[in-house]
Amino acid sequence: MSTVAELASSNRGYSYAFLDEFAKRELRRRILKAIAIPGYQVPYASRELPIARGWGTGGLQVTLALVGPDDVVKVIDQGADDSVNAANLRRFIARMAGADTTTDASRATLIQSRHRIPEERLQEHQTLVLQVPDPEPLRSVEHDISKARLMHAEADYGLLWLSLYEQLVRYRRVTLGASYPCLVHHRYVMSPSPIPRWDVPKLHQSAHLTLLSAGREKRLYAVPPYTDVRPLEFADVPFRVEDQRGWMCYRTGLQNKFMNELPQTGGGAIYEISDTGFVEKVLRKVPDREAAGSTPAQAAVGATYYDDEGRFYIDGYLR
Amino acid sequence: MLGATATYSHAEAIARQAFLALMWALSYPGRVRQLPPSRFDEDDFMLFGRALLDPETSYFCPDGSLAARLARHGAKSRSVASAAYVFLPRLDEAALALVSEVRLGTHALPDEGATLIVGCDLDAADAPEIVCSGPGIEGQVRVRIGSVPLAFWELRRQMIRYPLGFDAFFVHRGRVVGFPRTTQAEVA
Repeated sequence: MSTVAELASSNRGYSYAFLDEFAKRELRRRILKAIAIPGYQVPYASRELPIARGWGTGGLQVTLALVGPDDVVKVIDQGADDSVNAANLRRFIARMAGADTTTDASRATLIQSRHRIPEERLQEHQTLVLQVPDPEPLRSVEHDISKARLMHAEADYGLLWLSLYEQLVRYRRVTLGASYPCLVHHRYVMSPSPIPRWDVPKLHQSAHLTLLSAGREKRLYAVPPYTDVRPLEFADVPFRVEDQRGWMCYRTGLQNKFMNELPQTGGGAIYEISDTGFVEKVLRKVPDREAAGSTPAQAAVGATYYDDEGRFYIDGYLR
Repeated sequence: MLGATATYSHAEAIARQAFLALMWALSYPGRVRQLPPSRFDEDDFMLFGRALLDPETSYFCPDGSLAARLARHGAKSRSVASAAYVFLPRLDEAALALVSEVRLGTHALPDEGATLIVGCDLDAADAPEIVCSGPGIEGQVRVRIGSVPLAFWELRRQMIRYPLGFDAFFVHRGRVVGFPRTTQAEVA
């Protein structure tokens, strides 16, 4: 009589980069269509992974479809390279693909991120993969997903504009924080994923490729390089990023980078730059620090999207 | 763990590198990119097949010999009007007539627009310059694509009603240029 062990197929290990050939090929076909139609949500057959849906499976599948042993991978979670989620995803990708890893955004060829875009400007042929919990920007105004798709097909975004107007009437400002809806290439409204408003302008006319993927919703979309991405705004009520003027990073002394607010016992708060990889590079550069002299050939801190005075690098984009 | 369980085989490497070439060709339209060399005695079209085709998708090719070789990837052979991938080794008058029949997607599903893989001559110094602009292009980029009749560019302009349209790759001797439907192409 056969045993279960005999009947079970032998352990042949994993496919390269975990996903099987069919899964990768399907994802790759979808990625090409997403690039060809910026902002349009392309459906795909989201596969099971050894992490739960909602923990970055969409981004991870896209990363696994792209990654190779010649890649240098950076994984960030809310700006941090060292969060549990980021560390586990990075370790998984590195094990499954044999890729090198880094915390330096300028050195990475492939950056998977949850809810942040690095402070340093990304360059041509870098790929940013954003994890997306909800890809549908019309969800708040149209719960029926079939109707929402029809609205995208007809470029019918009137309800979305109306919801922004209602916020202005009720609160005197647009109350949306993360996932601020954007018009891509003058046609599709997309959710930029729950990045803060601070990061939304970084998608406009960027040199790098951005891929956004929602594993649970089985949708992926793209912002190709040098593509117009405009947050929805009224002519007389311009889009605004978070007002963090006067906030200073307690670790670097820098201002005008996106900060985390750290409440203190007894009241008050201190601030630190959210992008930990950037902070790491800045601290290495400080000449008084002992480590500076002993650290060989550290990469220079690259140009940032916002300068030290808080000006965005594309003149006139933020009014 | 990696060494024992996940081998980056040559087949895997070729499929991935071919895909990356296509991805960057589409991301930066009008720029010539290198396709990876294949040890499998494959021409450029078969390399496309390796990267993109399997039983989940469909293709059309008017060249019987190439069509038979592409069939090895398991994709369904369909008419030009319903195929997802249309392989045109030569863009002569007959092929141009086929282009006018490719599927363009619908407003609900624009991603169902076909992808064309077209043979061309990227070394033709006397070919007219194509001036490209649109997403993926900083300002303008110019490229010469020989063995493509001027009528193709006019036909493409007439057929693409964004977001409806087709996407095209032009291939020649291990090189590829991408033209997504978003690219505006004008003959200089």
